[in-house]
Amino acid sequence: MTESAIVGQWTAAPGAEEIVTGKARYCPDIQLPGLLCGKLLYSPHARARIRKLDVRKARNMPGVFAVITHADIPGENSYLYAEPDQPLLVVDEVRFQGDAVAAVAAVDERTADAALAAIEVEYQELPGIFDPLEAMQPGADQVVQGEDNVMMSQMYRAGDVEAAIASADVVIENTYRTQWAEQAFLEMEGGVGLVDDEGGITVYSSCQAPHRDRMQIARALAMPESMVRVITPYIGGAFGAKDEAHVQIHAGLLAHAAQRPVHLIRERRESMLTHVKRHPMIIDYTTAATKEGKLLAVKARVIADAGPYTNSTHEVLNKCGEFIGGPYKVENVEVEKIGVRTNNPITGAFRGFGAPQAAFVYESQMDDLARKLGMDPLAIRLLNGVETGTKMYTGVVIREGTAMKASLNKAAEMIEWEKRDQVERRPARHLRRGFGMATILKGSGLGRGLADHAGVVLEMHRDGSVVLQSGAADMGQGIVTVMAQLAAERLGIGMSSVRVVRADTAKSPDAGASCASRQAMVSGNAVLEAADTIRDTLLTMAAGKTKIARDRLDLKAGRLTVDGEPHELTVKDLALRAGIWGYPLHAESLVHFEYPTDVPDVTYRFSQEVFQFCTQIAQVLVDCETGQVTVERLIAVHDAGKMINPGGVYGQIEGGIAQGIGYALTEELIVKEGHTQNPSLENYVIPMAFDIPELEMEVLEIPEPLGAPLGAKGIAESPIIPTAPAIRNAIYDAIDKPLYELPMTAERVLPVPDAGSIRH
Amino acid sequence: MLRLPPIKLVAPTTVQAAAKAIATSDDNARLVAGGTDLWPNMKRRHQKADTVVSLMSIPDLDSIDSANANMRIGATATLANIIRDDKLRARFPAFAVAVASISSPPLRNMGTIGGNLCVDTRCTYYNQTEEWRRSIDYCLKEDGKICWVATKSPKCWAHTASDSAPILCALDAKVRLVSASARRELPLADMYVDDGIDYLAKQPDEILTEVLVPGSSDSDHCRSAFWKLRRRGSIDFSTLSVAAAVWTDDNDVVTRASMYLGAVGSAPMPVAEIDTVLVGNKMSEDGIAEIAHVAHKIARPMDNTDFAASWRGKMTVQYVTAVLREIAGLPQLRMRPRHRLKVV
Ligand SMILES: Cc1cc2nc3c(=O)[nH]c(=O)nc-3n(C[C@H](O)[C@H](O)[C@H](O)COP(=O)(O)OP(=O)(O)OC[C@H]3O[C@@H](n4cnc5c(N)ncnc54)[C@H](O)[C@@H]3O)c2cc1C
Ligand code: SF4
Repeated sequence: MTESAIVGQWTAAPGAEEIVTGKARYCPDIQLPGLLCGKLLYSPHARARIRKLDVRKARNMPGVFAVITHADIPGENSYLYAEPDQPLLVVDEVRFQGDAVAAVAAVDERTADAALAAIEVEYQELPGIFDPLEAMQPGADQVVQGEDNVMMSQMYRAGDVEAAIASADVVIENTYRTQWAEQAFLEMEGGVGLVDDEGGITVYSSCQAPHRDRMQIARALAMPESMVRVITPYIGGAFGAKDEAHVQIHAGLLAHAAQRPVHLIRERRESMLTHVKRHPMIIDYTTAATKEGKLLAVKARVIADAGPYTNSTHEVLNKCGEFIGGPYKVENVEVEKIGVRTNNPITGAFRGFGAPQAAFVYESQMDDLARKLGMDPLAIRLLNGVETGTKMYTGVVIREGTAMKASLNKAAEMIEWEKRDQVERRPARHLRRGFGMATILKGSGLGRGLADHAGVVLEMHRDGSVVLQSGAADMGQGIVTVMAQLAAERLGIGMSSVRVVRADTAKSPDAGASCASRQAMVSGNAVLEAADTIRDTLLTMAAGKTKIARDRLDLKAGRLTVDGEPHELTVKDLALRAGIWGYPLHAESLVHFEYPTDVPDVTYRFSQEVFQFCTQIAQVLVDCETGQVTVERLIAVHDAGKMINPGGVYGQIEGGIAQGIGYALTEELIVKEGHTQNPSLENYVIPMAFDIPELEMEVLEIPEPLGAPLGAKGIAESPIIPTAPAIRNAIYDAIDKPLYELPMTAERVLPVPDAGSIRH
Repeated sequence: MLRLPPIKLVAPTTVQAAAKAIATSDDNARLVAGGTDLWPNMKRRHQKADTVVSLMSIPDLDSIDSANANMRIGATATLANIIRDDKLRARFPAFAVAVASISSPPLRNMGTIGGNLCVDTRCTYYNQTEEWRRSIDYCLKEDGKICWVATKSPKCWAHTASDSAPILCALDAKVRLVSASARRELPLADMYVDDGIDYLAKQPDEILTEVLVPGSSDSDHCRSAFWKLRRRGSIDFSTLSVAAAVWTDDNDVVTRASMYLGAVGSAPMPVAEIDTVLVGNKMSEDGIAEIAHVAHKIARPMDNTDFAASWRGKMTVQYVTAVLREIAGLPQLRMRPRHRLKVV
């Protein structure tokens, strides 16, 4: 192929204008004749038995079209991300504040509120189980009767950890704690359900996985999946919290019960109380190394608070364990992963999926080790870093690992790491400046052994315009743009000629969930495959018509080209001919993520094998008397393989770092006895523009050989991962105090040890 | 969505008509100006009203007269317009900094100075939705019988939230109050009561019509400063604020001084000792340390806002020191709060 005309260019999202001018329709904007207002009644308690649930009064109120409880669910009363243990509507016991007990649909919001108030529920409060360490004890009261509170306990071992520790020159052992973190997307969860002409159910859903939603809605309604249709309108962010279904199932149930369209949108408070948070973890971590700084062993025990229900706890802990050793060569690794039920908020997917907690730990530990050995943090990372061809402790062989060290070196160069001691370290009596780095890896794709596929349907019309149908949900991350770019590029047409139909299960093939930094790779490849089929037809036709050899022909800027020079025939001419002569310009593709077969001894289950590498360096200013931390500079070097839409790549990096700064310094859901104290963005403190420095970013483009369209790989998750440990290490550098708990609030930064005599 | 309950909204066009409207309506009537405090509070049902009397249709109630020796600001002048006024910024820089630190640009476009001075006291157990408050049971300040911050307390400890109040108190500002039957002028500091529920000495039917800041408090006569502690560089309310003004003679000897603390009591807390410690001397590190020590004792942070109360208490020392160092022209020992006085 010739040089890219579209791929690699800063490209506005199709629909960008609609979004910024307010024309784009999100779930709450959907208007339908006779639309009812749906609402859910949530539990005020963290744990209680339902002694009485009487909805008769509510049902008889004028303007109320449906009131449903667990007894009115025609099919299965459970969510099903992995285990069916979370009820859609509670039967007899509420187990966290986000459990719903009833749903109503009424003519307007006020009537729906009145109906909720008219539902009689008698709760018998029960003593809850809030401390995961206590919940793990034998004989502890069970969160779900008959089920062990320890919902998952898995040990993974590679090599001989104990022997390696015994032979080590240095051993460092610490316990780390992380917090509940909230995704804080702009658009709250929502769904609009309606009954279609054939009696089936259509649901507009603000989600990450429309096809999985369809399965869940059908299952709850006891309907064949063929009678259920899920459409994604514009979606205002998700970050993992809309991967599992939320209220779209209830919207379907209410529409079915009322036989009228129903819209069901969570309020911010409901949203924050109900959806999964990032798992708080307690991680005991031991690092063993030689006196030269070579890593010998890593031993970790990870305890995650799962809340009462399974959700994606297994998967998150699996990823946490997979990356617990960091991007380093270490052969002896032992990691115990324990998920514990409590009556706290449920936990699950959030950008990074277990990797941010792991990185906070392994990168903090790396600096502690460097200190103990008197080594430079950069040198010890370069010494241990993985490379292309490194076989990880998981058995996975890294196909392209250049970016690990390249990102470290580039970031160090950008901040002038070697000269950092020449920077004023004490700009005022109580101020200390410090520098810290963190480098990480994170896999893209679902993992070996899991169904990781995507399909698209592509059709070129007689006028040369193209419709692309894909089931990949675009929550704002830009997959629609990437797919349109790839199609346009391959077919030699402009972006404006490609229309991407937003994911609609009635039209588009399943593309799996938009998660795990996978869609640009999997759906991207599917688009290339489908586009190539159409391109082939066009070029074959062109060769026949022009009598010029097929291999001299190409499509570019709307024209046929011959040896790169524009020909008088346009793509439109060719499309018209194809229409007239009956050549179908229609292609479908289904792409599976292919895992290499030449690595027989991968020992880690569901391991990922395409890696996002990146390094971030933070420069911070710490006030020794107030404990306040200001991030003055943040350098970020990321590898995207190949940037399809640079604007999208930089956007992901900026957004991820902003979230990472919040995770590092201010964000924490405060939960007391199962009650969330700050279920609003007023006091769940995400950073504002003032709190984020001008970011200094650099993107490497080292083509990925494995399953990546044009060498491009996922970039969505990695930006949030190194930020917290980089800031932690910078604080350590500034005030000589290592921190082991997130967020690193002023209260935790204090007291600064011996503030008067810090070495700088 | 959180929505307002049904209300009757009236918008008279004169102060007299507004005063009459509030005096003659039922008990459950309230005034509103920009509504950036009242409307969210009513949506969460911790403030209630059947009738709301808006002041925003009264012409000229929003005028700012900053060129006059004694500055006069109408009650409905918006916070945005206050910081846009060049003369005001030059003459009362610390006041401008305080106003610029309030909430965010869209809220400053709506929020008024009168509303800011009368803004409700705050508490993490109170500024929550109706469902949240119901789930743990209501507290003393609205509908309940217990204080969740101090469970044995018969009194509410909600903290004063206004950022313009401490600095205007320090600058000796006065306010004019008008009701259907009377009008009076009183020192702003006297308008506040150290009680989380009844935090204003103003009667509910009194309208604050203007704020008067004496010329003797402008930058030709005194030096002033304002620092605000919060987690982020914008939007957040104060968890502690310190405002001070110091008058000196030609030899830099202090002739008068005044300081108020915000957010660490139900009213702006005066640090009266500042006058005895500083007056008669030049400002010195020792004097500053002494006042910081006194202020620490006066501050009464409770666990009812962001940050641990004990930490906010300690920060009083640091912030009082910072404010007085700024006034004394001494180099700062720490970083300034991140908000900036940005005019748009
Ligand atoms: C997200 C957010 C952040 C905020 N951050 C801050 C902050 O950092 N600092 C801060 O100080 N405030 C903050 N506020 C509160 C508020 O926006 C400001 O205090 C604003 O100045 C209030 O003015 P208003 O005109 O909107 O008041 P309104 O809401 O109209 O009124 C507030 C109260 O004053 C009474 N009132 C209004 N005008 C008069 C009058 N002329 N006479 C008598 N009574 C009157 C009303 O009856 C009501 O009880 C914030 C608010 C929000 C929503
Ligand atoms: S201080 Fe006590 S009474 Fe006052 S608002 Fe807070 S919890 Fe309620």
